[in-house]
Amino acid sequence: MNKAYLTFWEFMLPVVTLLIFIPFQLQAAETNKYLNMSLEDLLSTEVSSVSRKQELLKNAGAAVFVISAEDIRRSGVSSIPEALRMAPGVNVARINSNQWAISARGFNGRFANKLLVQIDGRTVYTPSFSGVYWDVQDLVLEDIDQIEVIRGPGATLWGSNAVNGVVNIITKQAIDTQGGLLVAAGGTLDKSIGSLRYGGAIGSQAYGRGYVKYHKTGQMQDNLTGAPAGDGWDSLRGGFRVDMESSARNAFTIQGDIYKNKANQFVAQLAQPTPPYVGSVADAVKASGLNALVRWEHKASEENKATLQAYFDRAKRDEVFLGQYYDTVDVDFQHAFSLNESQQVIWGLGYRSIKEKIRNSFAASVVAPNSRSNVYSGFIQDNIELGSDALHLILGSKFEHNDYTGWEVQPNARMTWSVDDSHTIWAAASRAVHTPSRVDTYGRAVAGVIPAIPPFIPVATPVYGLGSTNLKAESLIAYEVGYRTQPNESLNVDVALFYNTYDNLRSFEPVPGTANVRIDNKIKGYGYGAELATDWQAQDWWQIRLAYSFLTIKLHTKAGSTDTTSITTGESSSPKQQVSLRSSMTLLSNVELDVWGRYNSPLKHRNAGALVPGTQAPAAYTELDIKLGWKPRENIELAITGQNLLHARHMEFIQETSVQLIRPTSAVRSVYGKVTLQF
Amino acid sequence: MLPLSYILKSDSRQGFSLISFVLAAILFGLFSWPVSEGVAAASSPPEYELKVAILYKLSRFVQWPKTEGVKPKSVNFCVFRNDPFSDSMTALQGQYVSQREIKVRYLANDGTGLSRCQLVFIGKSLNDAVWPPLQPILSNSTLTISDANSFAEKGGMIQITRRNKRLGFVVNMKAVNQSGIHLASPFLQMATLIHKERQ
Repeated sequence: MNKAYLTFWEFMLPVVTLLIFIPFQLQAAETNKYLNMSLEDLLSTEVSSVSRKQELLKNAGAAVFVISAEDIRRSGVSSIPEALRMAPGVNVARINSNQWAISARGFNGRFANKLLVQIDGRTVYTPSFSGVYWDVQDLVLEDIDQIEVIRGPGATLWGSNAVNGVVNIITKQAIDTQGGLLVAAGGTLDKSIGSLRYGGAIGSQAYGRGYVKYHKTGQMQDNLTGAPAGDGWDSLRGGFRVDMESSARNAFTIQGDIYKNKANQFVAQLAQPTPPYVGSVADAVKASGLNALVRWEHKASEENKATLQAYFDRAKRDEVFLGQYYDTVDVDFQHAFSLNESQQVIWGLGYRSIKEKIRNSFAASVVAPNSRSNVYSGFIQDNIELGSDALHLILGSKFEHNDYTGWEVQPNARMTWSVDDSHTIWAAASRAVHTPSRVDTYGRAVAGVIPAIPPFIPVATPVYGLGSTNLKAESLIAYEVGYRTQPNESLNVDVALFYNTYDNLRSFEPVPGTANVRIDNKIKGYGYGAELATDWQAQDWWQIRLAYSFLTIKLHTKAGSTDTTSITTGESSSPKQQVSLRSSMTLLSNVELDVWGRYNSPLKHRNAGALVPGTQAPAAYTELDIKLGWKPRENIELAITGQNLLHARHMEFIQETSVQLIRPTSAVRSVYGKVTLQF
Repeated sequence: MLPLSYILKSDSRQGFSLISFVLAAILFGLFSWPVSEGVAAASSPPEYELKVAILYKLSRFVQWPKTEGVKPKSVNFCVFRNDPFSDSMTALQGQYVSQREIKVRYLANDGTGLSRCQLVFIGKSLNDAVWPPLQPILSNSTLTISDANSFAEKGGMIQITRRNKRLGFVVNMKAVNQSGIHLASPFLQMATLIHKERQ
């Protein structure tokens, strides 16, 4: 018998198991119990290997995973999307050489829109569909300090569209990237990578750096024929960052980037107004943009800090079926202060203005294409210490006004309990929304053309998929619980469980009297799952990291809906299970060997067989990357990395059907060599 | 080109109950690890909490050069470039060493205020771009301590090292002797000394 909802107790069983072990006495955590020990005793105390990363995570009341600079270097990844594979709960699927589908806790797709991605505080999603074009997000990877991946609604601090998670990419401060860095790499898929960065002091109070990077990537393979997929691309970018401290209280940062990309895509079925009404095009996507960001941090005292940030982002993207041009201006203010001894408050205000210009085509268009939209937002969060320092209650909410759905309120409540130095339990309940994008409201895509058959059908009639200005925001209520522990000094374990209820998810309903469909909000459902991350220092020279995710999504239509396909798409868009297992060994004193195995469950219903006959849905896959690195001297590293070594090719994702069809493409086995020189 | 419909498969109700059970079992297993019974019992201290305690204790063995006339009531412990360590340093604020109250100060990146510090802890991220410009600003009576690599070799006075999970000291005697600071011998006996001048 089909049962739509899980019972309360099926969810509560793991939660209750967690709760029954909570000791009744609250152990007051002393600020520093070692102050009373003698110097001799201090020197004979064994120190734990808790890294800075682990300390940051210890008191976080959310499912946080940090990808450090060292993780990025040792894994051998050559792009930000590939680095995200290390995080549990994040599904990274490479659609083709220049496209990725990345999401957290479900609803993945090329146009996935429930993950907020930021680089140094600048939001990088595109307003047209509220998703990310990953081919234009790149940095000198060696200058990334860390990538914070937070699964679950980050709504309160970061705003709408952080529905299923937030990815925060943070670059190193200029003072930590002084001197020169030269990276040169080449291989079979990463055809060539060249980065040059130089940092220096500016006067007596400032440090800066500038960089230039070129990255050329080759083609992957057509899933059925194995022929080159016509999806190679290259990217040239440059940028700078300057950090200045005018006093102990004031710090300024100015940074900017400029880029130019060209990506090939073979559009297999593109609607045309004239017979045969569909054609194929080898398209060259041209994308370019620039951004500039200014940030001022003022520290009145350790307990009273304010940040004011403003940025400008211009992004242009031109494809055969659509041209997009966006200018974004964003101003954000945040103030953190201690209300009293046991309450820390953060509040903020934000304003974002987006100017848009669209070049329409027959196949895809935006009605009312040139526009400006504004978002006003505010948030407040109070971190309350209950009783001892170990128990915290965090209450907050974000308030946002946008041009499509008006006011949205996203409250959240979390509790963290540091049982002692090595156990933390946290729980959270939050509401988050995903507001409609431009395409959702004013978009129009041609799904097909009914040919003219006079006298019955006088003219060729396009069949449209339409956006709707009545579209409501999709909403999520998430219940999460998590547990972080260090059972012994070489093992860290982090577990998170979640249960999400979704409402007003998008569906497509027929427009009466026509063959068109219009977007609507007639789907609801739920999702649940678990994520596990463990970090084990097996030996001084050998570290093993495991990330495991489990996810199930169940959706159903609401009354009045006739949509039968959006449910299967939503439920099968992310794999049920994902495993990432990394082994990092330091052999001899300057040789490093990293082995990284990954497994993804199949995407069962994602079948493009109807569109490209013979295509099977993406099967489960296991893959392996191996990186061997050698540092002949302190400032030189030579490395060779083999990726996806187990199979000549495997398919990870089939792009959701939209206005154009890109033939399903397989990721390929590849290898590249890299030289990194610091001078 | 309209998407075709698919048949919705039956849900995996049995699958969830199994997962629910498995998760409960995993959590049961994790919680069976012995929960720490006492304050100093099971878990090892984080490195920087230990370092802060060490800074506090070793300051008792330090004699700063006497300033004419006035007996100072406070001693400035400064922190230079060491997030997130600086949060732990606040534990020392208001403590006393040799009847002087410890004041914890955070320095700007250009080292402004260094000359007023009796002790400065310099973060691990110290690199060659930052150390040489600092040296001229250091006054004779500032004790420099760091856990950065090769700190003592490069002219720092006390370096906190870590070997086999235990902390230790390397003291650059030349740098200490060039300053007006005197380190008591019980402390020097616990440390590895380098650049010892011939007596």
